Amino acid sequence: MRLLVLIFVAMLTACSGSLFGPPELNGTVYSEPRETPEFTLQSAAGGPVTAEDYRGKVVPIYFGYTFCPDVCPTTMANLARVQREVDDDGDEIQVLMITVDPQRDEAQVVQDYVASFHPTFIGLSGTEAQIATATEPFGVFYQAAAGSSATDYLVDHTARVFVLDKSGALRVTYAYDTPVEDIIADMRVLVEE
Amino acid sequence: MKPCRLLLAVFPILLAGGCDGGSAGNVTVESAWARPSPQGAPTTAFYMTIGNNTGQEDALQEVRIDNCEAVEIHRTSMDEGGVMRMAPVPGGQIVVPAGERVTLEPGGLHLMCIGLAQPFTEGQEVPLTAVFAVSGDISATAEIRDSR
Ligand SMILES: [Cu+2]
Repeated sequence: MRLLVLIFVAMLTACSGSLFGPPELNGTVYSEPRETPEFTLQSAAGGPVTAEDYRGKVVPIYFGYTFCPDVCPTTMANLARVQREVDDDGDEIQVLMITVDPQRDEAQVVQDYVASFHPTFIGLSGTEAQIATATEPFGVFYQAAAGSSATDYLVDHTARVFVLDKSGALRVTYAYDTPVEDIIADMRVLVEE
Repeated sequence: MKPCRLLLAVFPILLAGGCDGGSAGNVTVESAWARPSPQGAPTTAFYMTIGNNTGQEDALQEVRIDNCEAVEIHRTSMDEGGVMRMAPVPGGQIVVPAGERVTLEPGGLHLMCIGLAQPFTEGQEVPLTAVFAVSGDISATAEIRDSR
């Protein structure tokens, strides 16, 4: 009998994590949530933009560029699906695309590009120095690589999606090939916090 | 004698039917597609599946699409750190061994269309010519649509 009770207690303890604890996220969760990343960028609206401006919303951030034909539009199309399915009005989720190619992408260029995927998306640019500073807290790598006469140059870059939670903390990140369904499930959790 | 003659007459028809639309013995370009162009986008990527139903190796060497100033055959690769790199395929061609299929898809092989004269719009059907080393020019139509 005592053994049965012990087993029962052990089972309860093992289960409580998933039963009563916070729901686990599918993405790669930072072991310690990072502080709000510090950056100052430019939006098409004109003013300088910081991460603080989006506090209170869940903020998926992608670093890319508009000349990128494959991975960037694929990721933005996936994020558009997330936005449509979880928060089509844009009250809770604010997707940002930050260019890693400020030479080609002024703020208005990135804005036009991302708005084609979802009207609530915001595109950001900045000076070379501002972009470099913005990538740092995310550990994003980017580097121009020589292209052909047609492409001139391409930009190698980290192709992950980073998410700030409502408190502004850098909370979770997704590899390029993460199933959209996994991101959708996570965003449903984060918007409820 | 008669049934035999009938069989001889029918046999080529059966054979042709079995080949199902002429795919056997050919190189095929199937399910070609690209996304609708985001506003102002100077590039896009075309995807497709190439089937080689011939007895010998073939290679896609060039693709022509009217609306694109240039089309390059690219491969996207991802390193362990999640850094994306995109570059023309080695040798400038995609080799398709005899009897095999190669799929061009997001995050991998793609045809990079550079310098769009007009944006591609949802539902549009885009004619393209794929040039193969052995099979020569193969015409196909790409559908403009969101990924599925
Ligand atoms: Cu490419």
